Amino acid sequence: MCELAVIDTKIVPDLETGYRQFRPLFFAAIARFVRQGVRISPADAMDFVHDFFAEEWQKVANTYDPQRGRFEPYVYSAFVNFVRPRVFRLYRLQRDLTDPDLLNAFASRQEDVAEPPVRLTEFTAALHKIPAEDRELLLAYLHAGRTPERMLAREWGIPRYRLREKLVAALGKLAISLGSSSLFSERDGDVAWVLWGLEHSNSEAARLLGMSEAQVRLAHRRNIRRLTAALQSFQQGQKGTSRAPIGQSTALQLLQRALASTGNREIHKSLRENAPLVLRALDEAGDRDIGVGEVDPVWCSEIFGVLLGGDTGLQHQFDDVFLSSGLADRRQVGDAFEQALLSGLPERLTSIDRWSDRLSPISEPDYLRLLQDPSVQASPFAQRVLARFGLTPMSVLLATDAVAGLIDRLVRKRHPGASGRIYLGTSADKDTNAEGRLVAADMLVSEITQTGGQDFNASRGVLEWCLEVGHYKPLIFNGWVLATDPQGRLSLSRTGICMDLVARWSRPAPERS
Amino acid sequence: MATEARISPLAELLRSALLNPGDLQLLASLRSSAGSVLDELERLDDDPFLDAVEASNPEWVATVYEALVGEQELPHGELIDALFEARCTEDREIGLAFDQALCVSLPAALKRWEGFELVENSSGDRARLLQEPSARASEHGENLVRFGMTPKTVLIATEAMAGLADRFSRRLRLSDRDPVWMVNRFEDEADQRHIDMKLMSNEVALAAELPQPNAAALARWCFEAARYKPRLFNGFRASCNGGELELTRRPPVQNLYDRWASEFAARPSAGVEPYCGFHRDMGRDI
Repeated sequence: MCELAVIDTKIVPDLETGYRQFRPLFFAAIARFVRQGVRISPADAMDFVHDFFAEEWQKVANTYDPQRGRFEPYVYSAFVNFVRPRVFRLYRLQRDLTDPDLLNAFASRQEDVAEPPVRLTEFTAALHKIPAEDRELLLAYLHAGRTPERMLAREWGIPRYRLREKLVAALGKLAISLGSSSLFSERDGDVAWVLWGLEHSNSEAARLLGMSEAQVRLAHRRNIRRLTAALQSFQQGQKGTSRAPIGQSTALQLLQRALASTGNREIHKSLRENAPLVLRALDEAGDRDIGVGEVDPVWCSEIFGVLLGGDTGLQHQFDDVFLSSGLADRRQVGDAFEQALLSGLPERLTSIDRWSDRLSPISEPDYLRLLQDPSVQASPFAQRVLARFGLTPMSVLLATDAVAGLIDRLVRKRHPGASGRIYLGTSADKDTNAEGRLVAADMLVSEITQTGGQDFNASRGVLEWCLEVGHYKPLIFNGWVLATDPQGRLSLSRTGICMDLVARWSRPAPERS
Repeated sequence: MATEARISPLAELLRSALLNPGDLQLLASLRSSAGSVLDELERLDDDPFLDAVEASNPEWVATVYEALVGEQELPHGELIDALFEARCTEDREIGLAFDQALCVSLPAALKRWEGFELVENSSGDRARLLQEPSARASEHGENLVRFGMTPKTVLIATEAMAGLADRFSRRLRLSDRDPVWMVNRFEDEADQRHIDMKLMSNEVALAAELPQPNAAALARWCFEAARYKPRLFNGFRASCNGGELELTRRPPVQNLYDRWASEFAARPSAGVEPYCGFHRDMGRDI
């Protein structure tokens, strides 16, 4: 280790001198870990350095034996050994518990998912079952408002990355404590248990639950949103509201009025202000019919989204923590889509008519919002066409991954180890035939709907487009090659190779003779 | 948490450097004011760099961090490289990697070996095993030697189980794409593609020279750990399917830190483009 260009001294510097002397070198060590794929922000890197000096310096100074070599390499090596497990934990946190991965693009869409309101009493009981420190942390986090996270970390006497670790762990405990509560759907509850209770990775959770990884991530994201919303609702209930409280019957009337006036968003404010009371009134009403006739399901979920605090600043704070990464990935997906997948496609597949024949355009505000998505920003075609119909390059990628994942699971289930061909049928076909190798398009559309969150019609539109594109880009579905047999049937066969997205989406179909 | 809209010029310099891959001028500016930037980092309450780190590629972020070293020479050389590697041939490194990579992110019950019905060893053996470098380097060493094991024993067991899977696959003349299955049960008439717990424990007993009850427990522990550490069995990737592990061939990973830290991105070898600049999990099979 003689190459370390640091002053050679046999005297161990005091903490302050050591800190000034070695701080830059420790950034070089962190750079090595960053090269291995862990996203470490400079602020977190500085926290690692602080922690090392706070926790390890004295020990290192005491155990150093000058006869065995110089101090600088010794302390550098101690730092690497100190940081490594923290880096690996951070990696696990990024990979399985907080990395939004493919799902950021659908952030706002999730607000449209009907979220079952949890009974406040049930939630309160669950919250009190977790250790007091975790409960306090969750509430302090919400209460902090715009207080900088590091300041909050300082109040807690821990570095910021530890604060996040503890926050994720506390949310996990709360999720487990809620168990089979009405907060989660059955399937999402299973995901919460496998990820947080059994501490499995996303990929293992997907295999255990028979889901795709994208579905697991989506469910995890829904769970975090619901927990956040319920916590916020709980906190509002604790604080009370600034206005005079309304009675139970008035609260129910407010809800009835809101549900009956589809599209009237002026009522949001009033609902938000009285959310704890309305939720409590709903709790008390139990299964009793509250006298709301036919309600538009999308509007209904929007109203419950407001009640559960779906669009307030506090939600965004949690989003900042859980969803702050993934931007670059989405941008790169947009690039790959524009430059690789669209390249060489015939005009009919890239014209807006191709989409407007099948799908209805979304509203202008929704369109403008979608233009902010990094994958859309990277693709002029997506800006001009896809976004008009509520879709993005990420939707297309998620759809193709959903198809690939479903086919893979079906093949493994029916023919473990088989590497043969799978045929894609029409919606009129059953999902099995004599050979058990026919998959109905409807099944694929359902899978895309579940994975991407868009409606069935949009999913069908995306699938049809992808299948047509597959004539020109046969590797569009990851791990599979699309072909048309002499009878005109579409089939998928395993490629058996892993390629990056740009290579896969660039590969043209072989020239036909 | 909200981040401040305005940040200081020094923080802005760091942020700009992160956001502009390849901008050597920014890198030079950063290098010349490295000390002040580090001081500024200490003063920041917010983290205004998260999105910049996310938006940039790891190779460039690493280069920016190296610029923060300032005018000092970067630490380099074989001995520095060795710090980031744990070799199977170095017992002490096995112990370190066991703690710093394998045990990280394992459920607490596995880390404590709960429910594995291990038989305790004689005190004389314990004293001898405690002197072994892999046990001395590991905080878990003391617990393991109670049962006649060290971190190295665990490594030997995983190598033995991987070897068993390899022989199985060759005997059945399976292609590299076809998986073999490890099952967490004893089978009277085993499926020819199943490696059952009896075969695994026998293999571990032979390779690790452990008595049968502890060999069986160790085999089962490795089986369970592979659910969280898919590259545990070198040369394969394990994925869990109920009570079964599906093992598919993958290139061996020699660095124990990479192998045991689950799917931690493998470091590129010399002469290879270091970063494909694309989605970390997409289309790449580590």
